[in-house]
Order: sequence, then structure tokens, then C-alpha cells
Amino acid sequence: MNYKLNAIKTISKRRIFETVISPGFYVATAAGLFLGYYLLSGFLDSVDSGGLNFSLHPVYNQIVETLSGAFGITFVEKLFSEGPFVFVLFVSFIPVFLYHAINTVFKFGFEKNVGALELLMYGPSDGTCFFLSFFIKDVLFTVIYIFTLTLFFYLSAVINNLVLGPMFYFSLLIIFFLAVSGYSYGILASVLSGNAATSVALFSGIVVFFVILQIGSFAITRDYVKNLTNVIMWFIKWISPFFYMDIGLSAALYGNFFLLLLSILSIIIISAVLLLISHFVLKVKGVRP
Amino acid sequence: MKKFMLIFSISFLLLLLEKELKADVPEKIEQLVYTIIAFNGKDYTHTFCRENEGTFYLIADKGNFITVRKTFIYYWPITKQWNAEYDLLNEMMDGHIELREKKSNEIKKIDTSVYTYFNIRGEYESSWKIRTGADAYREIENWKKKYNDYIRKVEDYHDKFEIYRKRFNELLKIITDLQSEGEDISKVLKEIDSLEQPKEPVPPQYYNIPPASPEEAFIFNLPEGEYFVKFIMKDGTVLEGSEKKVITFTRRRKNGIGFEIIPGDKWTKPVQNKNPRSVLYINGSTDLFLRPFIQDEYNDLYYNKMVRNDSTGNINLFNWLKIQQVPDAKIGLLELNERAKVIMEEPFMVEQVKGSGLGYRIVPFEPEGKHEGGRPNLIAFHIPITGNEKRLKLCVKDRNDNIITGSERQIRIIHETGFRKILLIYVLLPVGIMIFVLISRRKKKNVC
Repeated sequence: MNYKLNAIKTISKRRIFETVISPGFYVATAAGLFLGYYLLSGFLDSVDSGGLNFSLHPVYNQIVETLSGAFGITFVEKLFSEGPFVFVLFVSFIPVFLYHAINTVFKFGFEKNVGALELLMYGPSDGTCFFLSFFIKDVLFTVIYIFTLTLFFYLSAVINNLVLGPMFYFSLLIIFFLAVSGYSYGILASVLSGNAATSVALFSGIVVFFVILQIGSFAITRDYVKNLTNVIMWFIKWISPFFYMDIGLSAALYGNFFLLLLSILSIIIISAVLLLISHFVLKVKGVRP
Repeated sequence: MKKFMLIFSISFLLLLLEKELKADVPEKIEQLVYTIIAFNGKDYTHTFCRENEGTFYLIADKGNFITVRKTFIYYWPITKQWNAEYDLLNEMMDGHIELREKKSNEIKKIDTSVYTYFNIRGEYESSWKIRTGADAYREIENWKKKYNDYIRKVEDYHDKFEIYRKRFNELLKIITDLQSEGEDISKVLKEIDSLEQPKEPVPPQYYNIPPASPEEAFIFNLPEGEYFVKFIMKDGTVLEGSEKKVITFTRRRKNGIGFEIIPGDKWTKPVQNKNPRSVLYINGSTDLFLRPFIQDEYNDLYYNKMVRNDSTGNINLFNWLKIQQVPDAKIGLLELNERAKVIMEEPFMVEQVKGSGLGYRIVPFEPEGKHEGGRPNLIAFHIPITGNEKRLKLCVKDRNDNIITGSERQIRIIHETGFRKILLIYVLLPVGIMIFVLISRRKKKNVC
């Protein structure tokens, strides 16, 4: 067991080092921060003498119109009720999450394909150590990015006299666990697929499927679309991290902290189960390309 | 030839534009509709449920008036709404409604009743009353009696006022004559002083909104739940297209506090601040005028559909709805590092600014000064914004000076700051680190 832990530690270090010296993480971070900066500036430009007037900023106007059309004006009112940060957080988080998740999925598939994973198996390491090292690297860089983002938002709030409301902090917490479950799905997709391209396609498919289902069940749609998504959602929602995110955010909004913790716990359980499945799949399937 | 070509081109162009130039006349469709006069938490609103809509929504445990009729409906694309043309066709269906509760499967027969509804002066929504059958007629009679009494008093007042005015003018004439003749006027002045101006009668105070003329409808006063309805004709057959689902719902939370915010420079465009956690961001260019109101929280979709059956909403969300103004409220205002101030409700007048700017300004109402005889345009709490403050905290206090739960709000004044650009350095920091890492790696490689 100690050998395995040591192997995880060593491979993780290597992965972290690789990420630090490659430009991808910095570019994704800068892209996320720039999106945040742009959206915050837009929000500030939308402040009028009587409150928020999104028609003052063309991009925000478009965003708000799209969101109101899809989810209703009440959703928009609630989204921006404390300020811009909840919305900006989710948007700014996307580039870095996608970078890490797709990078891991692609690299895992690629290294498996060229036989690097098989080579490692001759030592104390195994497939699980290999994917756990990826997982640890992703989680670590997500924490770093969340910290960077929080500091950026804090500075923006101080400079621009904005409020980092309680919903922002709850969202911060939930978004981290949401990313963790996303990485777990990425690992499962890599383990199940034969090559890098298939892994990326499978992972993207899973994410898009969950997102569409969540939007379908939350959006204002025609009755038959709603009924269809509700039926599919009833079967799928238990394994969708977005479902628990929705419950968690609603619970936070109404001050039900027990339900919030329960939803976070559910996301953790999903992640653990996914990693466990990946472990068994690798054990059964082996690591040969 | 050229002339012919020109005429031909214009005719062709007009032919192409024919559809664009013609006003769109909406197509009217004959349909069986459920007309609904629904209680919306504070008032009654009218809507109708057309054949394509399978469900209508009502607030539970409140009286709502339903009728089944044939009429013409049309879609109005400008407002994106369906409207009914009752003037063209308004055929009431004869029969009864069969109502089945989804949960218990219990079936209930509902017959039409004669009803009236009215609003009496009170503080809360319970001031709406319904009377049915003979009581409805009695209530209407009661109102008519009160109204007729009032009209009689008004006529009497006008007669007396006319006599008063005539006598007053006569005495004024006498005074002028006596003065021109240099005689004593004290006697006449005494009579003028003793003249009593008749008092204008007050309209009936009991009713805020008097009872409506008697109508016949199915009265739905149902507990929260889901129901299925169908219209049964006199011959016992189910009327085709009459089967609908009815959802009755209640508010999830009540007595929240919302604010109507009227910026000094846009008094015709008030905005609402309903979420108890919300922060109000303003640019501080003008003073604010606030009107706190009591609000209840309803399901977004159910409420919107109850008010207008063809509208949309989000079933997953709940929305606060204004019910009425907070009675006898005060606003506690806390500026940063300062002691709390209490602001009282005041009357204001909106004045047109003279000059080419054609703006307006909101000034305190002066009943004994320049606004004598007028009525205030606005009654609100004035929150002065000087432009120096960065944040204000406010809360609503009741008549006993207790802070009303959920009424606390924060106002943040956003000033244009040059520091905003500094954040760009932070945004570009990762790129800087990346360049540093890449250069140091390259240097290391070269050393090796």
C-alpha cells in the first residue's frame, strides 16, 4: 500500500510539474480572469440611477435577454440580486475546468495508447495510481484557480464597492465539488475508451448530456419537452452532479444548510463511486492499448 | 418604352410589398373557453383558458369565478398574447361542472351561482368579500342605498352652496355700495362672518370598491391540490374540449418586505427590489424615493398563468409579489459610521423644470404654499444621496418602531473609479508568470 501511495505521490508531482511548465494552465487562467473582468465591467456599466439597467451594456443586454427567455425574468432577478459575482463565477470557471478535464482525458487516453501506462505497471504502480495522480493534479489546480478567482473578485469588490454576498460563497463551495465530479467523469470516460479522441468525445458527450438535461428541466419550454426531460431526468438525475448543484444552490438560497451539505455529500459520493468504477474497469480490462 | 418600364417596375414592387403594406388582421377562431376571474393575492384579475391550454391555475381557499362560454379568440403578435372578442360572440354554456380531485378521486358537482364581489376598507387582502345568491342582491342594494344617499347629499350640498354663494355675492355688492356712499358696513360684515359655508358630503366610506353588478358563474373555492374539470351539458353529455386540469396553490412565504424604488430623475420608471437578500446598486446621480410594500412569495409559473393563462413562468422558481403598502411604516437609515436616522413618509410634487431642458424635479409638497389646492403626485420616503457616501443600510420599522424581519437592505453607490483598470494587471498576471516560466526553462535548457 505504501508503494502505491508513493507511486501516486511521485506521479502526481510529475503531473503538477508538467502543468506548471506548460502554458495551457496560464492561458486558461488568464482567459477565465479576463472573462470575469469583462463581465464585471459590463455589470458596473449597467448601474443606473435607480438600479440595474442592463440595456446600457449591449453584451449584458443580450445575456440577460437570453437568460430571461430561457429561464424567466425571475431567474435573472435572483441571479443578480446580490451582485454580479455568482454569474461571473460560473462563467469564469468554465475555461479552467474544461482545460483540466479535457487535458486529463486526452493525456490519459494518449499515454495509455502509447503504452506508458503499461510500462508503469511493471513497477509498484497500477492504473488506479495513474488516474489518481491525474485526479490529484486537477483538484490541486482547481483549488489554486478558485483561490485566484476569489482574490480577484475580492479586489474587484473592494475597488468597485460591490458585495460578495453569501450566495457567492455557497456557489464557490459547490462549484469546487462540481468540478471534482467532472474530473471523475473524465477519468471514467478515459478508462472506458480505447483512445484519446474517443475519451474526449465520450467525456464531452457526458457533460453536454447532463447540461442539456439540466437546462431542459429548468428552462421554460413547451409542455411536451418539459415532460420528456422530466422523465429522462427522473432516471438520470441521481448521477448528474448538476442536479445536486441545483438542490444545493436552492437550499443555500432558502437557508437550508443541512440540505446544502447533503447535496455536497452526494456529489462527493458520486465522485468516489466513479473513481471506484474506474478502478474496477481498469482491473478487469487491463491497461494494454 | 421607358415610361412603361417605370410603371411596370413600380407595380411589380407594390405587388411584392402588398403583404408588408397591408395591416395584419388577426385571424379570429371560435373556441370554447373557460373565463376566469381569479383572486391574485390582492385583487381580482380576468383571464381565459383556451382549448389548447390544458390547465388553469387558481389560488387555494379563495373564491374564484369561472364560466364556460363560446367566443372568438385571436393572437395579437405585438403583445404576444391571446385575446378574446366577447362582443362578437359570447355564448354561455348551459349545464354544470364536474370536478374530480386527483388525490382522492372524489367527484363534486358545481352549479352556477349568482355572485358579487367587493372590497371594503381594510389593511390586508382579506378586505375582498364575496356574496352569493340573495346575499349578493342584498349587498348591491345596500351599496345602492348608500350611494343614492350620497348623491342626495351631494345634490343638497350643491343647492345649499348655490344659496350661500348667491347671498355672499349679494353681501359683497351691498358692501361696495355702502362704501361708495360712505356708510357703515360693520353690520353687513357681521353677516358675512356668520355665513356658514356648507360642507361637502363624504362618499360612502365602507366600500373601497363597490359590489359589482350580479353575475352568474361557477364559484371555485378549493383547497390546495390538483383537480380535473369537465363541463356536463343539460342532456348529461360532456362538452367537447371542456376537460381541463385545475391547479390550486398557496403562497410559500408571506409578509416579506419589498421596495418600490423611484429615482429622482426617472419618477415614471419605478423599479422593484423584492429579494430580501438583494443589494441595490445605484450610480448616486440622484436622490431615491422609496415605497416599502408587503409581499408574498408564489410559484412563478402558477402565479403568472393564474394572472394570464397564456403567459409563461418558471415552475422551479418562486417570485415575490407586491400585495400592499406597509401601513404606518418608517424607514431607518444607517449611513456608514453614523447613527441611524429615521425617515418618515412625506408628500412630494413633481414639477416641470422651465427651460429648454424640459426635465422635472421632485420637491416637497407645500399644501399651504405654492401647491395650495393641489394633491401630491408622490407619497414616499425620501433617501437623499449626496454622492459622497459609498453605502447605506436601511430597514423598515413598523408602527411600534420594531424592525420588520426581512426588510433590511443595502444600497451600494457605484462611482466611476480609475482603479478599475488596475484589475487588468491581475488578469494578465498568469500570462506574465507563463512567460517567466517559459524563459527560465529555455535558459535552463541552454545552460544544460
